[in-house]
Amino acid sequence: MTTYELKLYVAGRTPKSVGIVEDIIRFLEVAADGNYDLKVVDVTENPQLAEKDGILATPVLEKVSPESAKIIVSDLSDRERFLSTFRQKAQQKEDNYG
Amino acid sequence: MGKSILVIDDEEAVRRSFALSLKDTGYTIDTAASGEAGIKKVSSFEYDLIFLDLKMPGINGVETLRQIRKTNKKVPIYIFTAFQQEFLEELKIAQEEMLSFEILKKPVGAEQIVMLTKLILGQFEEAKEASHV
Repeated sequence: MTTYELKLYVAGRTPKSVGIVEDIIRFLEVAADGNYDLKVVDVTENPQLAEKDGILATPVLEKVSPESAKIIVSDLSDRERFLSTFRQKAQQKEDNYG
Repeated sequence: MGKSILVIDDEEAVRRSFALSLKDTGYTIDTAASGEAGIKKVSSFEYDLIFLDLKMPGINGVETLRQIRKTNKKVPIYIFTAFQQEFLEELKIAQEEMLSFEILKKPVGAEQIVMLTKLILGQFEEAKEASHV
């Protein structure tokens, strides 16, 4: 079973960023069936890592594996959009390797 | 009516860069050369997105953010700064005050400005192929 390895880059520990983390965890519990490893990176605390990983803005969810992809998640109110992106990337992988 | 973006930066080259990058997107681009001017504009117009420079003479980005948030808690504000600890330290004050903001790395190229703006403003179909965020 695929385990999704993800990094979420946020700007500090504000109510908004905490809400985004909670939303993404809820999402992953369903979309990844709980098979995920999510690391949260606070860019204000760890800008070097964000720089190294080529992050240009927050909040961004980086799917490290399978198949690296970055998704800006500033508007989780458009949940379908986010789900579509995540699933599309996963589907592309299956199409490519399946 | 198209969406409106305000760019607050004391550097004319940066303001012009945003304006030129976004001129063909259909968005209305407004600019302000100082925090004071930006606050004034926000008080009289409802923008959909604000790009705000952190380091400015006079009222800096954090104080500008603080003033804007007094009257507008919803508009997305992207603070424009280098990803260096010395700059980001200043943002911790804003965090402690629970002021809502996001970060955009400086410098940023024209294509990245367009892509990010479309993503932020929900023009997903046009920007979804881009992955360099």
